[in-house]
Amino acid sequence: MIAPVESRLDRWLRCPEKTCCSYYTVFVTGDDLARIARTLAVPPWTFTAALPCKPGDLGAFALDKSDKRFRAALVRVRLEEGDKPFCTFLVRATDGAARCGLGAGRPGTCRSFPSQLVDNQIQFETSGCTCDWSHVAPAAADEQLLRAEERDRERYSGAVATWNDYVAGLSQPAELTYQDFCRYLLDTYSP
Amino acid sequence: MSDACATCNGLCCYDVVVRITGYDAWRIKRAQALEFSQFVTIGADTPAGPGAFLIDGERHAIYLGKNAENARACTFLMHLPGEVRRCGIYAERPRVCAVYPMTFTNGSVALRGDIRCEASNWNMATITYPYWRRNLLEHLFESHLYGLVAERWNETSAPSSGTLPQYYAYVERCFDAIDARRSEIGKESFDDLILHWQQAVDEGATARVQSFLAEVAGMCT
Repeated sequence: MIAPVESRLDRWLRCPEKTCCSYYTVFVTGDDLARIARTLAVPPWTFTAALPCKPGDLGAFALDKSDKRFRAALVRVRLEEGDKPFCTFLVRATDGAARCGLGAGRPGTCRSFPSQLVDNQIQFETSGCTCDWSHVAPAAADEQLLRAEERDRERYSGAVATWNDYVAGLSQPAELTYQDFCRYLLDTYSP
Repeated sequence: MSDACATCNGLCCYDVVVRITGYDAWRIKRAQALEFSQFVTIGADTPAGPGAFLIDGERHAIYLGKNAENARACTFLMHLPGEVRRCGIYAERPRVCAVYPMTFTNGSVALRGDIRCEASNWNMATITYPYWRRNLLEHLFESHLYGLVAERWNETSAPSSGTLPQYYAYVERCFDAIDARRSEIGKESFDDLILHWQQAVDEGATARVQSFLAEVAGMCT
């Protein structure tokens, strides 16, 4: 008997483990950050953090005139010391099955998981995932989602470049904070 | 989300037993791809309310389950850094949660007497009354619908020793049919039903409500 083809979203939604929510560091764009903050009415520095990165990384922002760069990522939490960290937005049903508390408002990279565009073809990157993806086929909607994500990343790169120019042009060697950067994004991504 | 909710730390989702309707459970099940048993608790119908169903001759009700790690909190409550708490199923949260902390008092929208957040956070001069009125009416209407569904179970299946898994399957079938009918009717017309429910505004509206409620019994088999 041939197993029925399941949609990517159904497969992901039904997955009880959601190792993707603990395995990966989820880097967010300005749109993700501002949207989640506004939806939950929670300041973005509550649920994201600035992680050190290389200057050439996507969305690498400066907080001073040095070469140090950072990326905004979702905070992960541990219930107890030694536990595996998991996304701060993960909720669990009474039997422990994991679900995303952000639902449709989750970051773009989570919405399209595990699809990626490689040489203009959609591929599923499922390493680290405990779910069986063998009966899931990419759909046209997945490609649209990935294209929209590309546009979002381009816009974010532009916004970060403007911020970095501002930091580089400061006359005083002031040290800005991650909250300053978040406030800039909230302003830039105002509805 | 209202400004008052933005300052809240989820006390309404803590240390309280949240009684929900079968319609709420059906919505959550569908949106989250969960089984009822993964997020609800079945308890006694105490205090007695609408939607009590019989299993082994005892009256039961559906309650939201508690977090496995923290028995005081709702299973769907997100615990964010800094003691911030938010609902993890906001779009499909139970109606009783969506209308909190409002109720009808003498026909008007008012704050509940047992409010767990700061009452002063709610400015009753600036809240959007039509929004709350509509949501409260929808909550009451859906509670009434669920009451009819449970009543029919009690009359037809409970006497023949219907089990809890059978009740879950029955509730799912009923609300599959009810929600499909609701979609056929359309949002505007269904809102009209809700707004005219229990209000004899005109004979036509009353007849439409009665006709829909009569249909519900036939949808549950």
